[in-house]
Amino acid sequence: MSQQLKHTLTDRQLVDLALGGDMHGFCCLVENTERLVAQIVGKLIQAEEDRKDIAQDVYLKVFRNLKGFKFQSKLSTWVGQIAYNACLNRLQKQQLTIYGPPERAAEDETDRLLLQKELKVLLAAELARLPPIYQTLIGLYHHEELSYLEIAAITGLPEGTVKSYLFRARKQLKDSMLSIYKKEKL
Amino acid sequence: MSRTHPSEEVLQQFVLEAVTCSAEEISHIESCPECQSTVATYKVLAGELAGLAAPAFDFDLVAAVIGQLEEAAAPQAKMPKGTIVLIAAFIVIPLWLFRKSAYFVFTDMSAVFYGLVFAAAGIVVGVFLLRLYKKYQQIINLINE
Ligand SMILES: [Zn+2]
Repeated sequence: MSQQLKHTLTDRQLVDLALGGDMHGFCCLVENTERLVAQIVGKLIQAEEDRKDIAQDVYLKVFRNLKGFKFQSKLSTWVGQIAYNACLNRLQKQQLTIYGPPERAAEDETDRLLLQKELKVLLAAELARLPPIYQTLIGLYHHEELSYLEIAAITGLPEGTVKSYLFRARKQLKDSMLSIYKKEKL
Repeated sequence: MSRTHPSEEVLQQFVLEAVTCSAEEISHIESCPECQSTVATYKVLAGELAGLAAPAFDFDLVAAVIGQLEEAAAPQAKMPKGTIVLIAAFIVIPLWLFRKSAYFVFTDMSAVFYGLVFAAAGIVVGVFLLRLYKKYQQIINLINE
């Protein structure tokens, strides 16, 4: 089967292939979910040197537990859950929290960034200053276009909590955006 | 139009999924310049957030994962080098020492001695398999941790 065809397979076909010992099937599963896992690991884990380690652990767990996957959710949601929990475990071991300001908070670069006058750059910097959990939820909703329900399934947070965190995160970003523009006008 | 502005949460909802807003809220937002201004900011924000560069790993994930899978599988099949040397020594040294009387070892041995030899060999193999199984369990636990 060609690589291109494999990317159009359903979750069940992909799992069957991987369970049947087809490593290309498993590689395809990795490729299909890589962006989501990068989104979660990249936002929750600040230490870049830990990210590879965690990503490898995530797919090892996926590989070992694939037989137990019951198709009660999308395969990507299940992989996302494993990634999210792996990150939480790692942070717990390091006694770090996802609710506080990021470990490696960006310096106040607003003035320098203002010179660039590019909203995307400013916004990315503001986003990086939010607590890791807010960054993750923003990434999953606005970038991966997941529903509140899917995000709740991945993070294990109640749907209402996901909505309220997202609301606060967007409001914080909007307020930062406005204050930057006001500063610019002065 | 109702006089009170809807909450900011409703304004976000209006931008992202207007169908979940009530008719009254929609009619207010559409005719209120103040709410319209906030809505416009949120629209820009949503557009920019969706357009941010997708996060990606700075390494080849597939290669890293396959490498890790092979590494995890390897200890199950590999015997430690020390064990191999020890087993080889146990076989080769007596054979070399008693090479001249090797023939009589097989012809003059009593049935009890044969039994003892087989029992000892059985115990050694059993212990080795048990160790291998325990090691395998450790790896599985580590992976499922
Ligand atoms: Zn209004």
